[in-house]
Amino acid sequence: MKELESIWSGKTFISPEKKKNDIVELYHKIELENLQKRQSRIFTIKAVVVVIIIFASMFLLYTFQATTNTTLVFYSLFLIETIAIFILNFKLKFSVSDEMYTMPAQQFADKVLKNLKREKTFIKIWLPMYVSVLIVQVNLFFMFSIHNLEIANRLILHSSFTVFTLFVFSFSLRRRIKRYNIEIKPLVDSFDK
Amino acid sequence: MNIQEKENYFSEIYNNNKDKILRLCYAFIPNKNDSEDLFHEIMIKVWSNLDTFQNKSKITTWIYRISVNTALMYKQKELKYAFTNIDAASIQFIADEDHVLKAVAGQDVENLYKAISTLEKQDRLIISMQLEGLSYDEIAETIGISVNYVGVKINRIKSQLLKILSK
Repeated sequence: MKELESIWSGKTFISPEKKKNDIVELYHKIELENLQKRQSRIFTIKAVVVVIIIFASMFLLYTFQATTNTTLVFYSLFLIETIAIFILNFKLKFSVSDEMYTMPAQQFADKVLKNLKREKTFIKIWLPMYVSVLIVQVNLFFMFSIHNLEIANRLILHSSFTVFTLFVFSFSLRRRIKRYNIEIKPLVDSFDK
Repeated sequence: MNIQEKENYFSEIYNNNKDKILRLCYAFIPNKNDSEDLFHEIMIKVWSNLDTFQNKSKITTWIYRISVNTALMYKQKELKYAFTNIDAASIQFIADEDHVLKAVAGQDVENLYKAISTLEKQDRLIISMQLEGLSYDEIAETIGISVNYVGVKINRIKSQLLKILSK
C-alpha cells in the first residue's frame, strides 16, 4: 500500500511558481461563474414574475371591461397567482443548494436523491394539476365575462384558450421530461445504487 | 470575515490542498480537461461556502466533503473511461500474503488512475482518500459512514483494484 501511495503522490500537476497565476485565474473564474449563475437565476425569476404579472393584468383589464363581478375577478386572480407562486417556490426548494455540499457524502446523497425524486413528482403530479386548475379557472372567467357574446364566438374563445394552454403545457412537459432523462435520471440512478 | 481575509484564507487552502484534490479529481475522471473542470467546480464551492465553515471538523475533512459531493454530482458527457490498451507486462501488481496491494517494477501512475476510474463512483473517491493518507476516521467523517464500514469497503476496493490491474 505504501508503494501505491508513493506512486499516487508522485502525480503532480502544476509547478509551484505557476500556482500564483493559477489562483488569480481561478478567482476570475469564480467571480465570472458566480455572476453568471446569479444573473441566470435572477433572469428566470424575473421572467416568471413578468409573465405572471402580464397574464394577471390582461385578465384584470379584460374582465373589468366585460363584467361587473369584481369579487370573482379578484378571487380568481388571487388563486391563479397563489398557485403560480407556490409552484415557483416548490421548484426552487428541490434544487441542490451550495450549503448542501458541506454535508457528509451519505447524507448529501440521501438529500439529493429525495430532492431529485421530487422533480419527478413535480412533473407527473403538480404541473398537470396546475395546468388543469388554470384551464378550469380561465374558462370560468370566460363563462362569466363573455356571456353576452354569441355562442359560436364563446366556443371559439374557450377552445382556443384551452388548446393554446395545452400546447404550451405539452411543449414544456416534453422539455422537462427530456431534461429529466438526460440530466437527472442518471444522477438518481447513481445515487439509488 | 472580510473579503481580504477570505481571499487570504482561500489562497492558503488552495496552496495546501490543490495537489490532493487534483489527484482525487484525476482518479475520478482520468481526463485532463474534465478533471480540471471538476477541480474548478470544487474550488468554486469551497469559495462559496467558506464563510459557513465553523471549525467543527478539520478544514481538510470539510474540503474533502465538498470535493466528494461535487464529484458525485459532476455531470459528464461521457462517464465511461474504459480500462483499455494497458500493456499487461508493464503493470505487474501482485497481492502479498496479507492481500494488500503491492506494486512492483514497471508500474505506471497513469494505469493506476485508469484502474481507479473503472471503480464505482464512491469507491473511486474512498480509495483516493486512502491513498492520500487520510485515516479511516477522516474518511468516515467525510463519507458519513462508520469507521468499521470504511475498513470493509477499503479491503473490498483493494481486491477489486487488484483484479482489474491483474487482467
